[in-house]
Amino acid sequence: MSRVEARIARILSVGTRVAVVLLAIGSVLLIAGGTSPLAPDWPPLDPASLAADLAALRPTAFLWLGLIATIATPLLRVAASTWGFGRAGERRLAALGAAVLVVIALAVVAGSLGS
Amino acid sequence: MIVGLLLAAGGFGAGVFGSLLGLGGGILIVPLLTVGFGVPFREAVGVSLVCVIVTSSAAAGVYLERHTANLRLGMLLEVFTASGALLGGLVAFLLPERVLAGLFAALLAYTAFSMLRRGRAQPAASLPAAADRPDPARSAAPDADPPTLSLADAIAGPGYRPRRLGAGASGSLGAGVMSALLGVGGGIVKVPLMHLVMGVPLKVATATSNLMIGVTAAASAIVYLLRGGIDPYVAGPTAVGVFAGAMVGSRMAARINVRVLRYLFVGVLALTAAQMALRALG
Repeated sequence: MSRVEARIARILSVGTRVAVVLLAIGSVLLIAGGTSPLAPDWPPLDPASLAADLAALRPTAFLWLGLIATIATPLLRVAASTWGFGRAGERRLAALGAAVLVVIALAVVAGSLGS
Repeated sequence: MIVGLLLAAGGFGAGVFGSLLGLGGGILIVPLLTVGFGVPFREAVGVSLVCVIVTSSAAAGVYLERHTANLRLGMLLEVFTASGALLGGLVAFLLPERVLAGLFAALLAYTAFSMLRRGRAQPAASLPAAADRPDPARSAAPDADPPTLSLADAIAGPGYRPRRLGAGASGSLGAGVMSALLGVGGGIVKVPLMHLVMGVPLKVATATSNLMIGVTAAASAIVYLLRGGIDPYVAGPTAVGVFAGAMVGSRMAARINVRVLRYLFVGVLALTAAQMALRALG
């Protein structure tokens, strides 16, 4: 499994860097634009407008993408582990990984229902 | 502009201190945001969860490269920490903020007490003796069919075989609930649980706990994100600051007298616990 562990380490490293870079760009644009981070109303996450906001260099797009990349990084790690254990024939461990992914899917449903 | 820089600087400080003292950033970020910047408690927890994921993912990659973290054990316990985090994330939106602040005050007081006790203990004494036993999960030839092992054997590491899996599972569930309610990584529960209850070496328990934090926090962060509980304007500068601080802290660790820092920090935690308790009492 050392190859899988090396792959997972790379996913975590690259995912974290991408997330931090996106958050850093968004923060610099936010601060440079003079918007107070403590403003009571922040723009909600709107996936439909992310591409246009990104092209217009709006800080919100970078911040939301950075947050999504942050949350997605450990989930990619679970998916890669599940796949790796499954390929190695370790069904119990692959099933554990799949169970975590099911919990994550339930979190998406539960979060969406209450939004 | 100043507020954004102050948030990043505060996150940087939390990252440095957290890294030097072996704490996740959450225990520092929630008080920083609520007491220091007046951010509502639930939003501070949402931001803290993001910061905790960033530091966990950055450190977990290194732990895996060094083969310190036990990925198999982590995957087993993650099922329970993630389930607890989902539950906690849902409950967090039902509880009054004063109750959450009261729980956080209790956590701060417990952390201060644990750090004080750890500072007086002999570090080497806490490591369990490793048995001279091959690692059954890794000893098979690469091309051979995996042997049928018990679950404990399948998640064993070199020199240890985790015991009391049921207790580990229920403790992990509780750690997940706590993480989601209070925006912390939950290492303060998971590390003693794995080390003292399950018999995992301290170094492996610490690294595996760190590996699990990202997934645990992600499960509840999804609920917070979709329910509008994460403020991107506060989360961005704070998370970048925490990441930079954790990087600097890990490089400073060898040159700093952590013992003195620990006692100073116990005082800060106790003071913050008192402020949180006052907030809880209204």
